[in-house]
Amino acid sequence: MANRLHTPLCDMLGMEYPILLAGMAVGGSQDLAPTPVEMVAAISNAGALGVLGDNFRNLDEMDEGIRRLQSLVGDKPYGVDFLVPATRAEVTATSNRELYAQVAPQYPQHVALVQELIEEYGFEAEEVSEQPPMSTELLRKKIEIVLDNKVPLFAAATGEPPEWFTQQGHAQGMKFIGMTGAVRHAQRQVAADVDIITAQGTEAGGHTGNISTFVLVPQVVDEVSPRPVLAAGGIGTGRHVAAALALGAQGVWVGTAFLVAEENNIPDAHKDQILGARSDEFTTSKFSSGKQQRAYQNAVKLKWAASGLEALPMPLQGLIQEPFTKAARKAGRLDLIGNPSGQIGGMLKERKPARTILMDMVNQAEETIEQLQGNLR
Amino acid sequence: MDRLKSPLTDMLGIKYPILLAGMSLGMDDRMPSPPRLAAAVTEAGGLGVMGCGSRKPDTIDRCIREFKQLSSGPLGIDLLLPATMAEMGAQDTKAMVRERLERDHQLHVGFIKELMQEHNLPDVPPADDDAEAMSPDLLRRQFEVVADHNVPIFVAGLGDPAMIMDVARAHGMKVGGVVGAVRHAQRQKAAGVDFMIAQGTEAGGHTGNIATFPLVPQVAEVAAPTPILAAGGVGSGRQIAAAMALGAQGVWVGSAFLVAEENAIPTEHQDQILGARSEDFTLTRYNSGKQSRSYKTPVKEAWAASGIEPLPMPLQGILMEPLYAGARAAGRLDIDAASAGQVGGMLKARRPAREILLDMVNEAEETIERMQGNLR
Repeated sequence: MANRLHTPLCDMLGMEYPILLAGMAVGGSQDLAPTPVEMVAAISNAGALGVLGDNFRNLDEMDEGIRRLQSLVGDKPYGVDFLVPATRAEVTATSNRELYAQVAPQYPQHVALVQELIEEYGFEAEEVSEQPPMSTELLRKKIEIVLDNKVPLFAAATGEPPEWFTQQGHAQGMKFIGMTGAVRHAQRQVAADVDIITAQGTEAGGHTGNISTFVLVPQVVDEVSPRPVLAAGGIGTGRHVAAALALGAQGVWVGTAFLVAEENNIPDAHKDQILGARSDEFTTSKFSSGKQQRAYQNAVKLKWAASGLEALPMPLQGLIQEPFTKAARKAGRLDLIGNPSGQIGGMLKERKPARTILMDMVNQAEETIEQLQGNLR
Repeated sequence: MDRLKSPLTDMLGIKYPILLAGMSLGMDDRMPSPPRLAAAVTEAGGLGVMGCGSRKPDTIDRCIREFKQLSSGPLGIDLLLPATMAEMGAQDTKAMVRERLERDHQLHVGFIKELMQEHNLPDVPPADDDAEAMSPDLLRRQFEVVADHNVPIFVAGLGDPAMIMDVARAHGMKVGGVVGAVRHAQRQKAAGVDFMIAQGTEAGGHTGNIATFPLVPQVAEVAAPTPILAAGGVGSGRQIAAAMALGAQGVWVGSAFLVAEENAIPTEHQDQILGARSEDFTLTRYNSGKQSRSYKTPVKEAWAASGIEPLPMPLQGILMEPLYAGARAAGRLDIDAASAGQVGGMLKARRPAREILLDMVNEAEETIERMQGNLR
């Protein structure tokens, strides 16, 4: 091909196209993962860069998942992504079930609303899982797995990687991506010494801010220059890739468009929700996790919004709902479970292999850049 | 320089595909798109559009005459044609409507009084109490003035232009319509508009929920072959190039011209915009009854926390006027705040409109050239 899409970031990360799979996490296990190992590998092998989200039941599974990904991609680059929360309530409980028992009595109105939901849909309340809650210790162990496996790229979904992590990582040639949804947060990422900054607009799925991609990206580019910036939020076609480059980004971070990939493990019911939706049906709410998150609208979100209650801080809001969400899943009522996805979902019309989604985007971006010449006399 | 173009520039008879958004909020003495700004934009090679939705017919007449004295180039007029609004008598004044509100909406009126007390706002009569409230009859007479002047370009800033299409055609006007969702674009296409403006949620003033990035390509697809402009978040040449990449043939720029020297909004509002961050421009339905974006205020937050539903357009706006009149009289810009979009966070200096426009053109051209480096 004569004209191939390329930016300096491609050289920095050793990829052919400046497109990264967003390291989405939601399921807590590979069989529900929005970034299953095989799809991540397919994207890296197609010339872009797959980022593996944290959809593992435990540390051993994560370690094994990274090794499997390595064996599938060979010398192609890939990344790993998990939450590095900036602030977190101090947790003494050793399991989510124990944590639930500690906090539930403090929030009787929230517990009552969850109970009301359980009754409304005729479910039996499920017990909260025995997984360990997020803690500094658990985070340290995850980081060690990433370092031990010589992962080439780490992306922090929220927060900033701790200094000891960036120091050791940089020493072994690792690159870091930090995420920001506001110009004033971009400096925090620079201070944390990340190499690349993702500017994510409000239209994105999952945890997201209030400023749109169009307005945010050029401001972050100016703020963190010469560090490269990835644009995220609302990117689903090659026209969006070209537009992101026009705004000054050196690449894009794409989530929702890959949720409807054939290889994706999110439930079919959730893919159908996305494929059938309009852009205005992906709405923000704090009631899924405690932090503002964009997801397909559903009756549960609306009920919380109408309740007049305040969302609990992360991770308690998610935890307090677990007896309902687990029951809904068991009953096959996936329409009542959060489906984090962005406004670009309104443009997506069919399931396709991840490689096809990627190559369509690349080809259209190349065509768009060529066409733009026609706007100059 | 002088290189940026699109098929839209030929259709509208302009040099650059950049339109001044027809903004109309505010009193007659503080218009956000006044004649001298519209004329400056047209004279610089863009298209000046005056927002006249909240203007009396004779004010619109005066504005068009003033524009014609300043420029012989093309002019656009923007009016609001809401698809739904509260039932209104023909030629009811705002004072009459407010009397009815006192009687029928005591909860809302009481809340306004509470807010005015809480913020120590003086009780002064709103300046245009004798003006007519918005009604289908007023819309018809506003549009008649525009048609009588043979204004070449008309834009429906809100709602459905179907009702004016025949008259517009008879006068040889080009008609555009603002859309914030794909289903609005289908309606506008059915009405037979000449161009559409796909406006993202980041825009100032009345706006929807879908961002420019996901909205523009979807509207472009539905509208085709009708050309579209991108609006919402456009304040620099990089954003113009991005809009064109998304499939727009031009841009509709509001906030960036709010800080033009020729603008008539208060200097204090310009300073508010110049000092703001993008997240300071927030959404509310409590200013007009329809969702709009403006600089954050404690009054907006108090309404949102009250749980009281806003009244339909135009009642909510008329309800709020005494509060804003009091805030203006007291110089309380924390309450009587600027209406502007998120791109306000990028704006750093008050400049002549011509300079704002030509900088955008230059940067757009540089951006398109730079992007050739992204192919190898």
